[in-house]
Amino acid sequence: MPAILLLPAASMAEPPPGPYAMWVWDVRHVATDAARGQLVTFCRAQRVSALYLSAYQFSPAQTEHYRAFLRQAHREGIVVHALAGDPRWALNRYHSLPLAWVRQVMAFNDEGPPEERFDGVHTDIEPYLLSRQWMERPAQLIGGLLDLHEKVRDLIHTDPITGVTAPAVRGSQRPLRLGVDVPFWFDDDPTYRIQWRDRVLPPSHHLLDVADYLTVMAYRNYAEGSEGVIELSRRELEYAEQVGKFIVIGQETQPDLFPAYVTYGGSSAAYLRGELEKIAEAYRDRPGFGGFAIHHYESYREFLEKA
Amino acid sequence: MKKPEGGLTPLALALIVAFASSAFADEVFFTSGQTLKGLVVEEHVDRLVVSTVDGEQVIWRHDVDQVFFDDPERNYLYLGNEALAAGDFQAALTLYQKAIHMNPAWDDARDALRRLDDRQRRTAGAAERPERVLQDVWGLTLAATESYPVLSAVAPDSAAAQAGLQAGDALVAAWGESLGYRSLAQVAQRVAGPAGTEVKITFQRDVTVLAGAVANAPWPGFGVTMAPEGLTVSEVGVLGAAAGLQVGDLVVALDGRPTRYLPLGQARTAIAKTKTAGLRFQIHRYLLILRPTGSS
Repeated sequence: MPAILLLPAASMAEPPPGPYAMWVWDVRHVATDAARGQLVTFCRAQRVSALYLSAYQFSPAQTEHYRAFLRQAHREGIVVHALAGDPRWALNRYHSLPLAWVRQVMAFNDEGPPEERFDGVHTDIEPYLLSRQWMERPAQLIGGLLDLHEKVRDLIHTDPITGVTAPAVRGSQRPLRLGVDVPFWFDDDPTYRIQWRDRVLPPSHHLLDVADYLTVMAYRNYAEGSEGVIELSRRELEYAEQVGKFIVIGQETQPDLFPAYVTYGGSSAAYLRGELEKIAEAYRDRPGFGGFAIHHYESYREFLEKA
Repeated sequence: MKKPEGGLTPLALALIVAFASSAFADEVFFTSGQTLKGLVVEEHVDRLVVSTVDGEQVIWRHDVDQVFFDDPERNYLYLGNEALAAGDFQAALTLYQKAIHMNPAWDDARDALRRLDDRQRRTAGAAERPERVLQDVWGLTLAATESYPVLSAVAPDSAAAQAGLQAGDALVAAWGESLGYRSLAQVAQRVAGPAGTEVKITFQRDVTVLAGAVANAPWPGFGVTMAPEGLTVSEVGVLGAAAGLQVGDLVVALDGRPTRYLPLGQARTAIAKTKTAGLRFQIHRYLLILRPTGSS
């Protein structure tokens, strides 16, 4: 299993399968002792060992909240990645904004002891939500998305003293990892293959060349079949293995989404576990499989409470 | 929303932080290539008002390429509004939901979802002449002003009157979307809609509290507090109730003085001192109105 999501050995053999990451969008979940405790307790109970925690703002108060949470999470063996994104970040004109954010995360890390540092930066950009531009000029947005992550990679993986950029490979000793959310269809639709750095590849494969790992939003509520999660994430996984990286498979738990098959929100915890077991079994011993990412803390919690 | 401290308005606090470090500011990117940092304090169909170190600036939308807010949830709301304006309901829904993920308690994002739902209903059953619907079915007549449209007449016992609207009220927003600087047809389109559906109308009203309005009633008897949205009525007392104040009213001006940058202490002092002449409040309040029958 990739080091980023390693679980304590004792829990590896127990169901449900993992390891698990989880998105946490609302920063209020780390704003008080009680909320932090609740989040960590939930992670422990659900064997969540990595969090993508929304961390865009670094006001003095928020900085303290992050530090308090990072200390607590790290004591529990939970890694925490700073999460942010905006569809417009895919446009080169605005790259200064995400790069400023990454610099803030790096400065935050520089100013604190190791146990209070973020373990990575994680982007959720989804440029296709700029629907008109995406329809008219997808290559511009995809190219900008790739350019941005290359810049981020160079920023976080360049040794400030030697100026040497270490290859962004799994197992790298660099302090910050770079993770990217991508939809499963980035490599299913040939329309979006793009020439970038002299190679014609789907965006998700280019991104695997640049980032440390991808979280593939394979939002289907069934594992098997031609449209099931296993098949939808197969090519990303295979390419990740080619380049020595890994993918995390994103799964949705929000209720009442349309179409219903994109989420487990209307099903049971037992059903979810069964489908995840099938996926984990299909990818067992595959070095490119980095576990699951559950979207997201609040909906997952409600889903389990309901179940 | 940030919680106010020490009696400063939330905006004043935000400005202090923003100007102390430009990293904590909204940023407007113009089509000309220039940028402007500050805090966006008003958003209308044709303009933005940005509070900067040089004071408030009116920015025309047609000069703006993009606005990036310091609050990430506001970015998703902004993009959702852009998608909605372009008629892309699915993208708007996704973007609004992202805003809610980031701040589930944020009314603006929840209102945006209702606005999307409302827009879809209105698109499906659009009234041909919404202004006519407002007049004939709601019983209200709109008049244009330089900013928000005003109700020039509200028919007695009409649906609008029963909902609580009065002649002289200005319509500020529908489902949180500004109605300022729009044509009357655009305003009517957003207010009218299929009968039996809800619309959240924020209106502005002038309320004057007079010291002698009720015999032996102590002055002031009413009070204000600083809520995340701004200066807010916290208690009405006998005189405030007689004048029509309600707890929760957002006070946007006191005796003609805008409260956007007014500290709580100064507001309370002004209330305590203006005993004899009475005190003029300009308030914003919202109503959830069930659209009357016939307003399809």
